[in-house]
Amino acid sequence: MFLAQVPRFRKYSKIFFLTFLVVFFLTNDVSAEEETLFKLTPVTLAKGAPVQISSDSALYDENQGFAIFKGDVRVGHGPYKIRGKHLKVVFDVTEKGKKEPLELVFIDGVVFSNGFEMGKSQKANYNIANGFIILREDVMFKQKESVFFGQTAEFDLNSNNMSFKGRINASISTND
Amino acid sequence: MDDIKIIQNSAMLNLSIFKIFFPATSVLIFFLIFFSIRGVPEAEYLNNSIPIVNEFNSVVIKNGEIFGLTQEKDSFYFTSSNILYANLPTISEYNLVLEKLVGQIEYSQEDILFAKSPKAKYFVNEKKIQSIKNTFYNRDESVFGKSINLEINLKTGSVESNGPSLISGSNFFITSKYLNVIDPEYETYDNKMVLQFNNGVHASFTPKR
Repeated sequence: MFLAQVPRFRKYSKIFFLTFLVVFFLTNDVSAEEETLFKLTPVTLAKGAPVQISSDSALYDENQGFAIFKGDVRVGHGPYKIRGKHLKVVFDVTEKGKKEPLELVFIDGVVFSNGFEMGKSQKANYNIANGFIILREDVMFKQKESVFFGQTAEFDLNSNNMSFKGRINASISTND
Repeated sequence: MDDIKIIQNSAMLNLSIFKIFFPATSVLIFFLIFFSIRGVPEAEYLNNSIPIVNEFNSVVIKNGEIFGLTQEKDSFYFTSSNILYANLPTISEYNLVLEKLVGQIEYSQEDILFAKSPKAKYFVNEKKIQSIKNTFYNRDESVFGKSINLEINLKTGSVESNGPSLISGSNFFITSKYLNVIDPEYETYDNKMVLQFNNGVHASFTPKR
């Protein structure tokens, strides 16, 4: 039965192969469009550096394992500075976690800076344990004199890389 | 004969001095004493005989103890090494000065607020304890607090501080100029109180990383 289909397979093998190549190159091209990497100025975060927060008001709910800061919220974590209007600090409420801060969730506008580059968006998640900051919605990224606009920016603070996802609009300075 | 007349006149003069001078002096001394004790609060209290504790007040004060139930049926129990009664002009200002106050409010079986204060005032009518300096912590000591101008409302069981406050845990601290300890609206296993901060909040959390 299988051998009987072999000539038929041979007949269509070229079409299959060509289709595969077209799909492969197209997807490769799309992914190149979707993710653009930027190298950030290297900064170091000392191990165990505390997360410092100042705000106008706060609510600490130990039962649900979070604290909400409102008003002029300013966060400092080593060289990283984040400003926003509404911050939710999520704690590890498991017995092993000992209520340590896991994640900072910003809504209603946020500005992030490492002292050299600057990012701005509507929402942001800072995963403290993994060292990732993800900016979402109307993202603006500024490096030296160049400005980039997109939908999602992911900062890897361990490798000092930033990846832009989605379509990017850029204003690149020729002085760089 | 003339000599006798002179003696009689001087005797009459002496008699009239004794009759007027001594009663006048005693009346004067009486008024002096009366006006001097008029300003003493104890004297006013004895004259007016106002009861120390309002008879409709549910708070029982007995041998340095204040205990009872809040509106939410949370029990509270405070002891004081020395209770001083301060008599003030109006009944609304009646207060007791409590020295070395130690006590607790049991919000739930799991969450108990322990409070300590070297000196506090208990307002009888309002059922409020006001202390200038205060330390407090919950049952598992996950949260430890220090505050100035803390007010414990024994009617509602709420705790509020209008002065600088510090809340700290094993890996965090939060400071502010206003603190309110509020009962959560939802029911959870722990059911711990929610801390509300206002006015110049500063927090520090130490992560694993």
